Amino acid sequence: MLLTNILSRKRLAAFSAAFLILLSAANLTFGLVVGSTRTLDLVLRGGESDSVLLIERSARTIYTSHIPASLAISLGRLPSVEAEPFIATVGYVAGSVMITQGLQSTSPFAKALLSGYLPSGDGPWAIMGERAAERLGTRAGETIQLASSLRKTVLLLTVAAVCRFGDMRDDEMFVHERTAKMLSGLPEGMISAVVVRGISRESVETLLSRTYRLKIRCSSAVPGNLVVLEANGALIRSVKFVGKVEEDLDLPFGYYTVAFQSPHLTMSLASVLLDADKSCEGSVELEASPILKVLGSAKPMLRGSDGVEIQAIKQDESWIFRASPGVYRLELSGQAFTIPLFHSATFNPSLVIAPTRSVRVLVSWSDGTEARDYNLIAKTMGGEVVLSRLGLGGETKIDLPNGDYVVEVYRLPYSASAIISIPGADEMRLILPSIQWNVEKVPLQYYTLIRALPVEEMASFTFASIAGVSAALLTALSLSMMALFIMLIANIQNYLYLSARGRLQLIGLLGASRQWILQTVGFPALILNLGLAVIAAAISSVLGSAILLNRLTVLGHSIIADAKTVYFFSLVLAASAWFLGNVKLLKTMNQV
Amino acid sequence: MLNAVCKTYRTSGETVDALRRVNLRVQAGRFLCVTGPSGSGKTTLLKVSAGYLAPDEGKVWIFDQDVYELSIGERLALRNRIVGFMFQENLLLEDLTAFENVELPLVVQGVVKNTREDRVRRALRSVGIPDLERRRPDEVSGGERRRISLARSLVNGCRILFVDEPTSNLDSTAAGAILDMLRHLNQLGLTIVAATHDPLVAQRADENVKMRDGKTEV
Amino acid sequence: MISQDEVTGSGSAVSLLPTLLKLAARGSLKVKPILLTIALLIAINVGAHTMVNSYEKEVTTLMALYSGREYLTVSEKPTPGALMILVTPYEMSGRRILLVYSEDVKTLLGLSGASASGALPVRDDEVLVGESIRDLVERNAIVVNGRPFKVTGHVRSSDHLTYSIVGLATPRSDAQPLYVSLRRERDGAFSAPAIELVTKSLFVEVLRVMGSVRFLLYVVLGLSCFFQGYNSLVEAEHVLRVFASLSTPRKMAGGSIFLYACLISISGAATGFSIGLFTPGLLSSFTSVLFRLPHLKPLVDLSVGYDLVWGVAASLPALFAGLLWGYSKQIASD
Repeated sequence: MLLTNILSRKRLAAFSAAFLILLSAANLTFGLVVGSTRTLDLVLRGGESDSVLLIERSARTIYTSHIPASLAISLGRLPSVEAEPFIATVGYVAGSVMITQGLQSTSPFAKALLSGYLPSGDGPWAIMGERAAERLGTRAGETIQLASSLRKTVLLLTVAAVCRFGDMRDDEMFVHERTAKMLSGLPEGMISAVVVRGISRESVETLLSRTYRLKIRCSSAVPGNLVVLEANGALIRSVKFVGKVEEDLDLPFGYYTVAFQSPHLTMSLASVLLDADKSCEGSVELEASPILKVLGSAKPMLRGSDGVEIQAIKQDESWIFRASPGVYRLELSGQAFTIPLFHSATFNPSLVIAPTRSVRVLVSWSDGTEARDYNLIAKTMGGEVVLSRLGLGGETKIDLPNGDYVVEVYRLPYSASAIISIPGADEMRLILPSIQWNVEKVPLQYYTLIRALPVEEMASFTFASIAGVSAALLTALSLSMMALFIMLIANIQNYLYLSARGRLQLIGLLGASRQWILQTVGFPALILNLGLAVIAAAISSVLGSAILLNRLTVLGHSIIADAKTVYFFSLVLAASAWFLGNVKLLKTMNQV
Repeated sequence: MLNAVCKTYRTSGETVDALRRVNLRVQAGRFLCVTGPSGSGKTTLLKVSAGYLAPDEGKVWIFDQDVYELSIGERLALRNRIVGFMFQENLLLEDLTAFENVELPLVVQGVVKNTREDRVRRALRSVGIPDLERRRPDEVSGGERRRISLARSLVNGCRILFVDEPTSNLDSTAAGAILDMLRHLNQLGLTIVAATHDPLVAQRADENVKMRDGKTEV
Repeated sequence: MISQDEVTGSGSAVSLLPTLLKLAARGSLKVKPILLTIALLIAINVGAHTMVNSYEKEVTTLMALYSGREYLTVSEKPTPGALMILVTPYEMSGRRILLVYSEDVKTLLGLSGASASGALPVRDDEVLVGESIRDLVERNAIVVNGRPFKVTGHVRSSDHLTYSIVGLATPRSDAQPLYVSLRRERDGAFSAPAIELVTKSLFVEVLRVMGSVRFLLYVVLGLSCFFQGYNSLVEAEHVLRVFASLSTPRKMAGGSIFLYACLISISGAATGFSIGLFTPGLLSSFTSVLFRLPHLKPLVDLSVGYDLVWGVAASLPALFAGLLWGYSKQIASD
């Protein structure tokens, strides 16, 4: 081949060896830097995602941010929007930094389980990623000590399971969200961040940037409080009234529950997703001395929760009980029914006749958790109680004939009610209000302090906040490194042509054109360069994975190899070196 | 003195007899001119005579010293102190001044600084360009460049000067000036051996030797 | 003719060096790329090293001030003044809890910042139960390993004690002993707040990555200097021809080249060292003014001095070898 005639085999071999060594070293260096940066980027943004992150405006990292948990609940109520609470903190275990995330449920980890078993509920347990467990030398069943970064707290946890995820979670630890809050010092009702999907960053910022008017109209015959609760039950406003009340509130975006609170009962009147100016109305039918009318000739017995019997008065074909508000046990014809009695009602058990239809009733608290151990009654629109049931879990089935009914749920002191039409819906949802009294969780002053970021900007935001280093500067540094390597590798390319200077000058003197030279020497040299680039990239990938990347970590995470970028870098370096070398080649030939 | 000197160049597949049993004698203080067409072996003869190129056969004496029997160090010392050589291409360093170029041989020999400065200035004066000390070769004319090269050849106080094509690439005025200078130096006692195809040089020499195909014709 | 006493010797490498330096300074020897290469690579190494040193030492000091002067230390080895506790993981009714045994429950609660409602256990068959697992208590009693214990009170705590049964009884043989104390200084032990340990750990990671990068950069530096040295003398063919025509001895030329390589290598390294020291400091001042961040000065210690030594060690032999190779290629044998 003409190339080997002009440049000689020995020279080409020497060039190839040196080029390969230098390119491999450059690739390794670049791969390390890029891999470290990419790992740090992923860790600082909490993982791969195309979502929007909501963090505290003054926080510098996702791990030091505190925002209300109710924001996640409220955003999740928007149609087509998923909002996940993110709780994470930086812990320290046996000489290793350990990113620790809080979980609400371990069921998503079922497929990743390697050893041990997945716990349910809160407790002093931890699930470790495979690499994290290897690094610490721990196994399922062992106890570890996890120290908080900022608090005087050392948690003793049992490693319940080890999982293999195949991503950066393999370097992390997972605990119950309550445990994560103990470690991070997050106050009750606060989380690190909210990860939002299905809505743009601008829309979220617009949503959070202003307040909305909520008009509430309520009437009640008995005195009580009109209360407004935010999504996780924190009390926002309480207004004492009897008769009618009208309240206009300016509130930030959120999911609010309007309820009426009497001495015996707190009943939700309406739930409002406040993303625009809205109004709601409610009428409370509580009575100070409600009457229970039981139809039928058989004498019923009514006992209160204290076991005291209430005497019945016979009236026509019915029996009348007058009692104070509360939950009572009604015994009739050998059957027992639980009857919440807060306003006058008629109990007519014979009204329930076939055919009936089944309805699923889902009962939960306002923060989304399932309610347990509640009383459920169904009444006709005329106020006749037709059904009374004890609900043990979040879902109860009731059977009713066609018609319109009011279904009420009581988990004292809270209650909720809704109207259902049969046939029509086969499922209904009732949400019990629960009031959390800790006023720190009132979110109003926090919303202006929340920042929305696309996830991919999180790392550069953190860099800028902590080190004053912007993404632009890091990009400039990476480009400078590339330029430096090109310059250095071009020297070896120059060696190839300079060492054959005499021959090349002679060829030039003999009249060889630039095209001829590029075709005969330049192009084959380019093929050689690119071939060496691919080999060098392969060598550096193998060496990097085998030797370097396993030993090195960033914030406790193994460095993520980025083979594609290294290959690209290698090819760019080789091509650029070839280009610079060919400029030199043509210059050399022009010198006589 | 050259006695039966032979020099052959060998390349792959070809042999060129540059010198074929050449005998030559130059008396001290004489100006000898070796003339001949291109390829006749003039430059090879000069380099062999000056101790730059070892012959394949024969002997070379300079002032009764068998040049190629000396050790490399002794030969270098001979070349540095007794022999001067002015190359056809001048071989000046473009980034050094005339002073620094002329000073180079003294630096190589390890001459002390004060002595070097005296000698360089003297050499530059002797070739008539004392005011070009600080000028660089690319700032002066072709004739002046040749004079700087000549000054460098003379700065070590040589006793015999070998000159290869002293007038090449010079106009007639500059060539004449160089020849006058060589003549003047010869009159001062310097032995000069010049190789040229320029008849003007031959006219100014004391003796002429013709070369053709590696052989001398008297 | 020159007399013997006018000559220093036979001409030494030192005598030729000023000429070489003049030629280099005036562009004949293409020395700028070599100097730039050495300076840049050493500047990168030194700059990164000194700033990471600074972050590691100064930031951790700031962290220590910020996090307060008391640390909760938990050790697996006995330490003076520490309270020994014995911990066993346990499962009860499908829930994971901890059994914690201590001779001094009051002190244990104090160390955890916990409080107890009810009475502290005084007998072996008495325990405190964490608030979060009080549903496991039936009629003021709880059964552990088949043995009933009387529940004297409940623990309210913001750590694992809320999930624990705390008592005085001798535990199972598989219980893990731990030693807990509050200390003024960190004393190298595992303790919380761990922010300094976390920060230090992060910078140790960075230093480890940098160590690998540094080694690779020295390989790159060496190879590059070798070829740049060769290239520079190949391109200085004319200069070498002139010196050959002046009968410059090879030994003298080699010696001069060695001295030249030393000077280039050391001055490149010194330049790079200075740039590496001052540039990050300037950048830090700039960002501290613009972004109101703390200004961190580069921290120089002995390990940074090794960067200079390694830089010279990587560049000098390679540069000398490259120059010598280029010289020998250009000069025909005498």
